Amino acid sequence: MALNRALTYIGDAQNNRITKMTSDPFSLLFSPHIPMLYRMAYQWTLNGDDAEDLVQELASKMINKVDQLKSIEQLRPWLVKVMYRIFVDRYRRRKNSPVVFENNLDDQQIINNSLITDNHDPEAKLHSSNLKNTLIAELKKIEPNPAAALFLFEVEGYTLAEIADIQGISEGTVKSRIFRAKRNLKKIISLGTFWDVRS
Amino acid sequence: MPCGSTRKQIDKWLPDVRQSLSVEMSQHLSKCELCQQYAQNHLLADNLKSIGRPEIPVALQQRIIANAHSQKNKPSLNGYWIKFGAAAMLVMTISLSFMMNDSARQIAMVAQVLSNIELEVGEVQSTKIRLSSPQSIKQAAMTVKLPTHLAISGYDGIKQLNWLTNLKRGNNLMVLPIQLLEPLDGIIQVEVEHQGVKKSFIINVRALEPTINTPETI
Repeated sequence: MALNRALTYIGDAQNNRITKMTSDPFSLLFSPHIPMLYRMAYQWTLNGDDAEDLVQELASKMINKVDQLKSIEQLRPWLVKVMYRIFVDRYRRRKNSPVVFENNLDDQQIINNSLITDNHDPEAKLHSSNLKNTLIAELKKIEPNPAAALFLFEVEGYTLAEIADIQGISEGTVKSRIFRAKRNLKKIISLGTFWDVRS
Repeated sequence: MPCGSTRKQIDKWLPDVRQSLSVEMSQHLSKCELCQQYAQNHLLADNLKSIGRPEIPVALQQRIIANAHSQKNKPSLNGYWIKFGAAAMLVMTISLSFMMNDSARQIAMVAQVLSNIELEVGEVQSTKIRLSSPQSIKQAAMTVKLPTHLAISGYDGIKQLNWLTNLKRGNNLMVLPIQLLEPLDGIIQVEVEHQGVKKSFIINVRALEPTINTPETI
């Protein structure tokens, strides 16, 4: 009986905590966007830890601006825009720092895998399941702004005008950034001899 | 095989099912440049979508919200009892921050010099130091102190470098182009400071005897 009471109490306490969390205005406003923000942060950083750090920094900045969040009609694009600013700031800080960031083990494995597949045989490249990893390694070589623009356009389905607004540049620049990023990546997906073998 | 049918088939491709390419389709692709470009674009978009949709980590939302709450600035309150409560809270917060600093002091950061530093006078060697941190550290204050007979290339005459940086969880690589100015061994001191917690590392530099090029004997 006492155990049941104790279990009920624990259950109530947990429910109260969950209710408190979900009824908190910041959580209500921000929480639904976290998976989308993480996905975008991952596309820009290509690293899970960095992506989580980026979303965390955004959340830590936004928690003191709940009133401002409430007043924003289109919260999703606004949050993406603010997170992009943080991302660019971080990139600049990192670039200007004498500390060079070493690749994580996962990244290193990706690069090693890409080196294995980085031969002069496009067919072998294409047939290899490492194409995705090769692309990731190549994406890391591209400046982050064009890569982010490419993901926003190709994966998230943003228009050129929306990307221009997020990145604070003209539509023409967005267009050329996407074009440049695509051109670099297409070099990997050179399908040239792919069909020759099968014909 | 006409372009329309080829493109319909291309649209059905999955990122990892390239083998589904039929002989007719292959033959068409080998001749039609426009369909080649179409296939290339499709393949790129397909893979970007696959890369750009990572698995969401477990309990990510709860973690982000909870961490944000822990960093929230509390609004100021009025009233005698409220002030008293606030003062009590302040005492608790200060005690807590000391406790957190204490726990941070226990966090181990490991530094490893990745190559021996042996230099001749005038020589510059890029020295790699790996800083392994168990957690990400934002705005860590880095300091590099040099003896008079050593220099960082590009920072002539400066014997102490200070800068702020973000260290990520895991390995961070610091590259210092060290130059030997006089034929003496030396020690470079590196300090990482964050919220009052310091970690110091020492890099030993060995001076080498200058190599004398003796004329070849015939």
